[in-house]
Amino acid sequence: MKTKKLISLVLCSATLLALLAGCGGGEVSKKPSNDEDSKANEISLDRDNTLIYGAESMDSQFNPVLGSMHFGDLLFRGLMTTDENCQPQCDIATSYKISDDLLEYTFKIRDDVLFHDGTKLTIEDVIFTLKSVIDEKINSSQRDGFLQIENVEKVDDTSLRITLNEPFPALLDKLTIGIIPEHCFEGKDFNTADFNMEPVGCGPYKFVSYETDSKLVLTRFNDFYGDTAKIENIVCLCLPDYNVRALQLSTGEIDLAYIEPSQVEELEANKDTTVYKIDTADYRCVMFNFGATDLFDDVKVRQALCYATDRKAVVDSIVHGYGVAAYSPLQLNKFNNDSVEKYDYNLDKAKSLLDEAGWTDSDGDSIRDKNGEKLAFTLTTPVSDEVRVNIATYLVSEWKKLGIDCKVDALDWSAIDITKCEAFVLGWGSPFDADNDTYRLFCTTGTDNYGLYSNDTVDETLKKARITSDKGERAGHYAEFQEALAKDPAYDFICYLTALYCANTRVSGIKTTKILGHHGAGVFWNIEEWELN
Amino acid sequence: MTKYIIKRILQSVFILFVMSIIAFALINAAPGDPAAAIYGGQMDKLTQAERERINTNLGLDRPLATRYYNWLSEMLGGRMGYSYENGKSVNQIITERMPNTLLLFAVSFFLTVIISMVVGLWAGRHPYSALDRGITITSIVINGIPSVLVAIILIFLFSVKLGWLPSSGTSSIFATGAADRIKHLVISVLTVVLSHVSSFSRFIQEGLKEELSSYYVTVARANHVSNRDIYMGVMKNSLVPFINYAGSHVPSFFSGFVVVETVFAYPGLGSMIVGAIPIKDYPVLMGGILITGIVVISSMLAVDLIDLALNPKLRRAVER
Repeated sequence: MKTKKLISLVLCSATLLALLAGCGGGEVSKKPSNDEDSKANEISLDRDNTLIYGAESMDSQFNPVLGSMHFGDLLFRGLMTTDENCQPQCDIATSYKISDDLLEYTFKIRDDVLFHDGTKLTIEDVIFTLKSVIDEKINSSQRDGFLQIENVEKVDDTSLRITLNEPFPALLDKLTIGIIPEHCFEGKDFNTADFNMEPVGCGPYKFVSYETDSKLVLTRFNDFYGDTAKIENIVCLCLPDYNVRALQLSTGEIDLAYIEPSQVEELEANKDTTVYKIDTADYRCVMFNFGATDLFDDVKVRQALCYATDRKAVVDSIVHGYGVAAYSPLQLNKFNNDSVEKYDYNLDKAKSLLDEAGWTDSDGDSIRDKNGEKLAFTLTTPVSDEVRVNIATYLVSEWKKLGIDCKVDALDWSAIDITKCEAFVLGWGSPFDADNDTYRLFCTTGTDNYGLYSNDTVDETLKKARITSDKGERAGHYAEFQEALAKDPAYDFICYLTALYCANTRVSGIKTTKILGHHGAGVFWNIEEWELN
Repeated sequence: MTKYIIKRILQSVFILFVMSIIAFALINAAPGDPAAAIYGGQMDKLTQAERERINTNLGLDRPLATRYYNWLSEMLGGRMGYSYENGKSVNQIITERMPNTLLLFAVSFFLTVIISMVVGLWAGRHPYSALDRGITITSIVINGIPSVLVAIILIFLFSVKLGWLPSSGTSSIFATGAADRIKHLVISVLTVVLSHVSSFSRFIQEGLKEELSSYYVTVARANHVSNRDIYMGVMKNSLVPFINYAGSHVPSFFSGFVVVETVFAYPGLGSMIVGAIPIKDYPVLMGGILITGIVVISSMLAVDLIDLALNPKLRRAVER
């Protein structure tokens, strides 16, 4: 009798719970639809017409001025775009003129560009976008790429003029930033506007819905001014664990994801998946911080450290062969100078350099010293990046053979201040203009010169390369720059990384010819050619 | 009686106020930087100048007391501020995430109570049986395993190896509806239930055994009172401390969610708080801590009131 009561009680509760679970909380943020486009917002979402991308992390917001995101070039387009060879080409701009002193750029724009909400893109939107990036009050992570912009002004309804405070060849690359509609921000605080979670762009795909930290749904924008995309819907799922991503790729639950080098073999063997190995301009290096310690002031010490780096071993064992030994920041650039010193692995040379510099083991504790000071420093690395941590650990053991006492400090990014680290495992590299990631790193006054590196020849050649538009002249300056940098290293260059993407065989159109950016960014560059079979 | 309730409510408000001050001070003392969230994967590019600019924009260069006062005055007006990470309104974030956590809590708490009652009562009635001993041992073993490990083992078993259940989130892309939502809940609920059910059932089991060995039970048996009546009385008596026990464990359920939601990528309050900590997202953190605090303190107040309702001795003590 009691058991019956108990069982019936349990059954009642179970039904109740099932009902409760059925109607859940609303976590989906949908675009506010009015009567006109409520029909347009109804999309047909099924497995056959949807490309599912497994991302390591979800973007926290969708405003290109505030920060970069996975699908920036799907949702938004800019004045310029970069082609297969990473050269800037006109996109929303139809043409541009550069003044002789390289300080004034005048752009003409198309008049047939529509935003996803149906409104026309005007010159005011372009001006608003650029002014917002340089606005001090706006929490943008893109701002430091636009610091050379002095003023942006309207010339007429289809043209604008950008005035710089110093020549900046990389400006055209920077102007790929997505244009945002001014009317979405009227009367709103830019940093907290609804737009940031419900974006309206002019790219080939428009925003449908976003479920916090879970999934993002995009659908094709049929009024796109360029080639209409072939794939109807794109969904981005948040799958932080790389094992889960590989598993879902092999079962066909997702169509595309960034994978780890250790998973390539297994996924290549699977007949339903293809692995794409794409070169990137993303390199890893050790930065010497001249401001935090004077150990690196002697160039021989730095050269010794470079000679004691077995780049091949790093490429083979840490990134499982998916990388290239690095010796220059412009290796994949057309201005590369490959006749510079590459510091091929040579322990004996490293040891003799240190002896020459006066660092010997005078007290027999197997650590070199000089005038009572030990050759010891800390190598800091972000703990969340496995490759960097492995590189740091490896280098410490290699440099120990030289008699150097180097300790690894693996910290969370939020606790790292690179300017205070004696040495840091840094990542840089841009596939675009050579000025992009050189001037600001290696010039004495460079904004991202954390280690306070200073070399007169480097300063001179980088400045000269900026103020001329003649390709031959620039090539000469950059060749000189790389030579000077190799003789007086600012970094111990280690390796360039290869991006590894795995896609289901039903996805066609993915090309591996374009060099990608940091962590494989930019893989969707030819999305109009992608198809689902 | 009403005086007592009002006194308790005022006490709760005071506790929340003190808690908010301590939380604010702790967040301030911890390492972390909102600029890190805004820059995300481009941290190499974050210069000191930019870091300072962003911190100034967010008002983090003002003194601690000023910032707390600003937060408090806004909060009392119902505005919990905007996330430092993406400018989203904290009210909206919490409205989106709270139902998920409440659902998880309701389902797992309910199941824990029901299952532990069924199991505990049965074991209590059959002391020294295999089930009785089994529960005692299992409870000690499971309490020793951290819930993060339990969660990972369950995901590995049911999601990776068997493929029966999804490994994260609240709903699938294509299939929607009640069945899909329940599938997404199963592993999280199972983890939370497993962490608590053994100690809950052990509590009932021990309580029941103790009651059964008390004097009035012996007297009742001697007077040929039916087994059924004895058990009805004994159960009522042992359930009162159980309600206290269950109620006082509500905070531990919520602290457990922080782990389970993060492992399972479940968009609830727990994972929201965990995500906001390394970036020192004050508005989100304070909002999350406050909401959790309110839920926890209200549940303890509810437990006390249920106690009063069930226990005439307490009622008399309060009225005096």
